[in-house]
Amino acid sequence: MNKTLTILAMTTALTTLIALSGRAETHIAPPLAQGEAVALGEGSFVVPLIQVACAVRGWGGDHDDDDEGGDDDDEGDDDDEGDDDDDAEGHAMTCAGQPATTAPPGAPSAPPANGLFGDGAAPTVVTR
Amino acid sequence: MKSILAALALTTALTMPGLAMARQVTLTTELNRYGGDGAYLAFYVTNASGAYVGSLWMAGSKSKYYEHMSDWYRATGGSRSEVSGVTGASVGAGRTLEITVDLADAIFDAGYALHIDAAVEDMRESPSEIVVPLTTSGAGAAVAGRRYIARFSYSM
Repeated sequence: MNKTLTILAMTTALTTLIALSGRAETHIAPPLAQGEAVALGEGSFVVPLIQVACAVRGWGGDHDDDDEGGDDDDEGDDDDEGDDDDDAEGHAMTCAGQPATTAPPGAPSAPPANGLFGDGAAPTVVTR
Repeated sequence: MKSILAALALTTALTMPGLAMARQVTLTTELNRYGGDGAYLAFYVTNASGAYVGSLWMAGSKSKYYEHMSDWYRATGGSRSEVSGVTGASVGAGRTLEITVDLADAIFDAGYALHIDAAVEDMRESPSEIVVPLTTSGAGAAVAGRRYIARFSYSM
């Protein structure tokens, strides 16, 4: 009887461990080149400070043509959103009168505690 | 021996509910070849009353552009904390974004809906381009977008 219980217990423990390790693997963030993701989580507090200063400039589009006043530095800088892989490389972002700063490369970190995420693990993201 | 068995039973009992309360879901978003720059996409969830609950992902890292995802922005005020830890790169035209995430079971078959707001530089905004109810039966069904998103589906 004891032997049966022991086998049962060991099997359960192994199953649990395998299930847990499987879940952990699915949350390993992909390398930057594969996932093209840029972490903006903890530690990136410098970026918002810079971006607040940039926020007065419009993006363009139909609704805010007035913001696009045709000034020389408007959206024409090297890090403009123009290329498909913009943001993915974590290169410098600049805006008029502001020093360049670089979003730290890496993977998404822990998601916000909004009740939607089951286990608090970071999403895995792939672009292809 | 009995104490070991009891400990094993206890740890198993504590672990198993945690495994059962969430499910892994893959959100697949395929973009049209709309001939513009990379699209910013905001993935967020509303409840049965249509009220914003939270964000799942923000494709696009420059917060100065978040206002152009107008439904999401209206609900959040553009707060970066809403997408802290769930922000990545914008998505190029014609490309496919796959997000795999553990979602709480409670948001399925309970009136919750997933929204995707889209915006592209120098092109029109597209708030709530995708709105799909989160249901177990809806998994795998592709939904067409209006402007930038060719199709969206979720699987689990």
